[in-house]
Amino acid sequence: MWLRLRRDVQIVEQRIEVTPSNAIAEMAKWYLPTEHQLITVVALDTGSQLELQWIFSAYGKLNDRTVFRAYFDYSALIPTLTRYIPSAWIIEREIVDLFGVQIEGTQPGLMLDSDSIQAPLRKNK
Amino acid sequence: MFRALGLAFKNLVRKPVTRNYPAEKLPKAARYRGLVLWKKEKCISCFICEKACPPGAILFTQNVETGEVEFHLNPYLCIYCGECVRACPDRSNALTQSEELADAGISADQINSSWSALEISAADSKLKYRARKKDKK
Amino acid sequence: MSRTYVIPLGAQHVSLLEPIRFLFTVENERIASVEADIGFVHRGIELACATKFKFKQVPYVVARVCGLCAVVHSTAYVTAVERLMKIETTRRTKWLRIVANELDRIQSHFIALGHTSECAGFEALFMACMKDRETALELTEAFTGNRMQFDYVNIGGVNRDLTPEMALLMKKKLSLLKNRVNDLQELFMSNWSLSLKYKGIGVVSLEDAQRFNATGPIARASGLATDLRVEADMLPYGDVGFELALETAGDIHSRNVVRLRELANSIRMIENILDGLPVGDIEVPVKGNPDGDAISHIEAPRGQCIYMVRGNMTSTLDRVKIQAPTFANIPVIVNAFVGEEYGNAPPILASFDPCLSCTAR
Repeated sequence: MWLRLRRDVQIVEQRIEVTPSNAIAEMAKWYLPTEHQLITVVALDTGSQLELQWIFSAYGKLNDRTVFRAYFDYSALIPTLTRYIPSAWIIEREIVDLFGVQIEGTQPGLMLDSDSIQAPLRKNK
Repeated sequence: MFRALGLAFKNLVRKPVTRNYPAEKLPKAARYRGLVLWKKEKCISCFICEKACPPGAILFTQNVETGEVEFHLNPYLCIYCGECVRACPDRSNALTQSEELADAGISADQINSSWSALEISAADSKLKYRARKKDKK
Repeated sequence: MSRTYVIPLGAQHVSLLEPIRFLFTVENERIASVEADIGFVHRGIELACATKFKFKQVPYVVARVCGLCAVVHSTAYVTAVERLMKIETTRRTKWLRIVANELDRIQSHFIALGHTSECAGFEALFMACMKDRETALELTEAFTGNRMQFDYVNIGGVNRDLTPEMALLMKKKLSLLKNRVNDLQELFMSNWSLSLKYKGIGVVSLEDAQRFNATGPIARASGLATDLRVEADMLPYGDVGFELALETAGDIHSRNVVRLRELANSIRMIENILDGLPVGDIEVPVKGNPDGDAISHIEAPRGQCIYMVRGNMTSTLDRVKIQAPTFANIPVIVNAFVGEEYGNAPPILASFDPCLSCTAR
């Protein structure tokens, strides 16, 4: 009997607004390696600022997602998450390349060469 | 081991699983996605297919005097998704996707340059025709 | 006293399907540290999606992110936009999308198994896997109209319906394929020479999988029970008989076993769908332009495929973020090489089934 009625579950996205200065500290306090998974870091250009969304999911739970959000200036040195979650280095290197911002301890050159178009996803260059 | 030996002998005398391609035709699946065909008499010149086409492989040029449209398809740019056929208001009449005619396999000379020239002239002809229509009013 | 050498693997290498470069620092035969360069095929698809194409055309653009898992990308994008625009697709659409995704998973897992066995030096098994993959490709051609690049889903529905004749043909071929998967399972489980190259090599422990946020078959082979087919309900996998394949050893062998079990499960799911496909339309009309943020998660053959879409009330989107499974797995791949012998690097890499076009986009 494989046919079961489908439960209609709304997707719960817990959104947490954090300030640029305590973003990493908040996440490090909340994150448990055995329960949470960093899915991705989304960078968005709002036109005047860089918006970063750290998206986490929980292992084995249906539609459980937590989004941390913070806004940064283009010139600001963005703190790194790699200290707490070692796999974040690759996403941070990509953001550095595509947006031309600076993240603590992150070198550019993962996606783009030095002779290609720099910071293609930045809106006002 | 005997099973393996038996298999080996079976494979020795069995016909190959591959097909002798250029000599032997490949079987085509039913509802194969082939060339997009256009019927002039059914077309109402709404240009929806031109706007819907993801790679921009459809262009219409318009005769400035009579307003008659002509359909151009770049078979090398087309991705054969059928989005134009679905977007067409007169479904399965004005635009159809052929099940027999194959997509273009052999590259032609200077498709890119002639196609970009056509892109400009197509936009230009439509603008001119619209301006002319306005003048008449 | 040991001397260290730096040996590159890639960007062109016989064991690679796509360009990636690893710089191995080798002490005698052991790999001491690894550096990865993945950006060889960066094509700027995210930028193109947000500038050049209208949101209704983007499903066909993101399908070109990857050749092997094309329909997953379109499905993930389409679900995100449907969430934005509050479109509820019909049940038939969702079930047909599962069929397309699972057919895609079948052919992708076959190529992964074949490639792993080729890198272990078993050419005949590679040929056998590719022959069975042909059956899967014939199925996708019958179902979607193309062998690769299916272009099957669009916003609000799917592009073609399933006819009864097609369902009959698919069932016939699937039962053939099921026998072949059983044979392969026996071979992969019991072949002694394969076990020499697979068992205990390239081990990703459960702690490492959690620390480096591994996804897909790699995580499941390490005993980390994560699968978006149960963790997200973008597609109703619970209705069609999904079972989680979980192994605990974390080596190449268990990754192969996870893939084989998923193959069998995918075939079973498609058979279930063909038996009980709900009736209804395959398309719902789409009006207006998207606005706001939406995230969608779909389990790709290699792991999590995540799309983040932001609309701005125009026909062109503000931002499309694509997170491909291999991109998320690169840190765990790099970590798994450390401490292994250099000669084992190709089979380890192949067992991770990297897809670099996805990764670089």
